[in-house]
Amino acid sequence: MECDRLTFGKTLQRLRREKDMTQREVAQAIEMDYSYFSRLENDRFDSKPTRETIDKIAEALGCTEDERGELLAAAGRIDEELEKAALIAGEKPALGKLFRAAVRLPLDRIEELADQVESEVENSRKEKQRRK
Amino acid sequence: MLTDGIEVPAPSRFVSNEKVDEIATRCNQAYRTRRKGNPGYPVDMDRFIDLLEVPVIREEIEEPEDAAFFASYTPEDGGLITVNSRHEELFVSRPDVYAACLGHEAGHRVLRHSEQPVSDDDASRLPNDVPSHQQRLLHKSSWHQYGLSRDEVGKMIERRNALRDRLVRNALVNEKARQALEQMNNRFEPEWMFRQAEHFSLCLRIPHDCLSEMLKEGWDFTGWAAVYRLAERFGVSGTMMKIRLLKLRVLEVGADGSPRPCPPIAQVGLFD
Repeated sequence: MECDRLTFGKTLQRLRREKDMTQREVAQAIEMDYSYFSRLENDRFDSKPTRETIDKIAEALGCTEDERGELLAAAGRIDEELEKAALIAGEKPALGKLFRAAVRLPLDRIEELADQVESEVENSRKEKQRRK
Repeated sequence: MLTDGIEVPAPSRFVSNEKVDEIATRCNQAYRTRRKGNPGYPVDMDRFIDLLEVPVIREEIEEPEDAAFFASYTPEDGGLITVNSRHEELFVSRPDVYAACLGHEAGHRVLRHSEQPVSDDDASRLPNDVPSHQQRLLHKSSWHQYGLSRDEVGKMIERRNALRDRLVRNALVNEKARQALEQMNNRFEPEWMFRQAEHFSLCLRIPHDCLSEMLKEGWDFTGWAAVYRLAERFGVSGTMMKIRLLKLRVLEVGADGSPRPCPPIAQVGLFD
């Protein structure tokens, strides 16, 4: 399946244009070198920007939480909650296996699965209460 | 995209100045529409380029000794404008120069210069040269238009010619000189592309319809003051405005070097 996820640079460029800000305006707002910012937008770095840098950019652009999440995801910096989940998945191989398998599913199927899991969690909680 | 609905002919040296003017004016009108409430001048070139959906990067462009490249346009992968960060100080102190550079590169993009087939290219091209559409279209320095002095321009050209002469003399015996000469020859855009891109930049930033409207206010073109006041309104250099007015035959320069209004030309049909 072809991956249609945008690179960090392209995501940043799209959001910046949507917010009607120029490269110079954003760079000035976060006190970043203008050339450096333009290179970020054109994916000219081997390493991805840090979470701190992304947060600064997101703030300067006036991004919503979703948009900030988009930037973080595009930079391969998943949000903190997911980061914790990934750590747990690393400790429990079965969970990691489920996670890796689910990643290949379409979004609606993932949501169905998540609902199913949540419902099972809820049922087992009720079952525990009933036994008590 | 900003240029949707604007008909742009296949790139050719035969595309007239009038056609380029028409395309640039249509682009400016599209820019006004997108930037609600904008009268069409001065054009914020950073925002114009964003609307054109061309990425811009600022990094160093290597320059042969005694030559200056302000910017370049690379058509591959959807196009990229590279602004030479070596000239950052100049761009900050002279935003009109920066805007003119972006206007020029936008001209290459809008006028589809990268689609130019190799066979119709410059006569000076050697058979083994890399086709122009695979290279950056490097921005020749149009110093006069940027309002630099005649002396500065003269020295610049003199230095460039001296370098070329030196390279030509050494090219037969020195491989490095031959390579440098080829680099100089290859990396400049053909003359007609350069002229069209320059004209586009001029017409985009001083759109015909806006200028015509403003000229109705009545301006005294018996001195340079009116030219500079107009230039200020459009956010361009006085030299750029002078060129625009001369090309539109609003103004002419007398033998004594002072301006005067052009007498109107009677429009006569070819078969009248």
